[in-house]
Amino acid sequence: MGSNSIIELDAVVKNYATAQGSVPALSAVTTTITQGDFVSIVGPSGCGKTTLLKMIGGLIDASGGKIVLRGTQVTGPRDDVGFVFQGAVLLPWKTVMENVLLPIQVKRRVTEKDRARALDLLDTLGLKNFERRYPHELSGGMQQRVSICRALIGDPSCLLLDEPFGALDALTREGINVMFNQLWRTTRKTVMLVTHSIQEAVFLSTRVLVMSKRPGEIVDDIKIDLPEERLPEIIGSSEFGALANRIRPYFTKLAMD
Amino acid sequence: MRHKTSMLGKYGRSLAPLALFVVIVLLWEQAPTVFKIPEFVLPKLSRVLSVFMDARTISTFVDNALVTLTEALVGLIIGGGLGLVVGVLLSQSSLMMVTFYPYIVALQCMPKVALAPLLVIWFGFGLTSKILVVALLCFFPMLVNTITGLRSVTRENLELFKAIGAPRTATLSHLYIPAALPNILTGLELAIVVSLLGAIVGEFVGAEKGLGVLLVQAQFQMNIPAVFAILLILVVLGLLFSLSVKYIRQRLLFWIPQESKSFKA
Repeated sequence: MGSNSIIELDAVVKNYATAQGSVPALSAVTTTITQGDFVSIVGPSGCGKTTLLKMIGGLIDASGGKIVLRGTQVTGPRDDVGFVFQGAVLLPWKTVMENVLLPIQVKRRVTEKDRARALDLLDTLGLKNFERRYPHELSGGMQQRVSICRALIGDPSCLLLDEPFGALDALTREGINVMFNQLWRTTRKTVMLVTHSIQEAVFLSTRVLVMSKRPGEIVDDIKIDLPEERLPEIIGSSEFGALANRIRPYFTKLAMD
Repeated sequence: MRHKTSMLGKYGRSLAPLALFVVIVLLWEQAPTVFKIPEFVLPKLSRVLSVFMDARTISTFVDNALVTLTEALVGLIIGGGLGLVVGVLLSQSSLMMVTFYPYIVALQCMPKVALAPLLVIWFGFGLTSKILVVALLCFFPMLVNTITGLRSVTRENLELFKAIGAPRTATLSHLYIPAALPNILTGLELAIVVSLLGAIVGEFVGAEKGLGVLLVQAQFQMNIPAVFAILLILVVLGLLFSLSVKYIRQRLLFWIPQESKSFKA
């Protein structure tokens, strides 16, 4: 494994206990994620991609195998990981600012420096002057951006996103994707994104992992050789189309099975 | 056109209860004369209000109302506070919950005011017995609603707090308590209503002072205008209590959008 690898997955397995016995959700996933990469995981519903992401984030335990993050095995949630959930999961009784600072507030006193950093993050994600608002005053896209700020407030080396833009309309989603690409280029964080959208995966990633249906395993590992700066125009390019077309058959085939 | 009718409707909405108030006042004043209702059944409103014209009566009312208020408020704070604390404690341990909850439900089903005679025997005719009756009555609505509120925390929220590595105390103060606040305030609203009830019933059973005592005395003397006057005081006290909870509710639950705020118990 390369010296600049940040996440190592070694035969990671997940079984779920049901009334009918143990059901495998994920079968032996092995791969290595390089530092600074943007890796998307795509696959049919129920293939275990969210499960895999939550195991890397230490939110659920693996049934077998090993997950190593920055040299140490993952045994629970860690400060060097930021997690963005499917819904924004903001606390309605806290302002945007308080929501962003929550991961710090639950552990120690919030300092002026933390506040400055939060304002900076909000600014980067196009939420300048929204810090005193409450979540119900924001649109869905804005709420999700606040939750991205919250995941970044502790300056994690790794950002895990679980279908964060799935509930947004197409235009909002495209705008957020462009913004998110910019954020990734400036912060150089390692990102893992679970998504249903082939277009989103190709647009944002440097690498796309395709998973099979349950029990999920990685069936393809595609390098996305596009310039780092991604603008909406790129979606119409032939390279983009070729990459998307390489992924699509997996979905159609899986859907037919 | 639609706009105009809705404006009229809005105007009518605020006027309708006022109109009813005037009707009730007029009926109360005129009915005893018109229908020849004797004073010991229904005294005229002006006769009831005349009870308040006497300075000595007023000072007696104030004195006794303060006793009843003290019983209700102290009992509410003790009973409601305990309900809140026990609710939080029980929700922190599933073992405690399964151990105690069946008994709590059983106790809740029993009419607690029935304990008032016993409490008066145990704790005497002073404030203590009445405070305990009130506390007993206020404990359960607070407890049950606190537990319901704490259970309303979503799995997504818990997962978030797990992801950010929040310690238990922080999860309690930043997630459980605020999330349970709408229910806790509903519990407070119910508790505040029964607090006056408990104080009055306790005073009926045995007390030296209080509006309940005055009420029984007035009844014995067949002083029906005084009975109605005391009832009016109780209506005003009850209204003040419930308005203050409404105010607290509005201040604390600003983050709930208006439409869903009115889920009244």
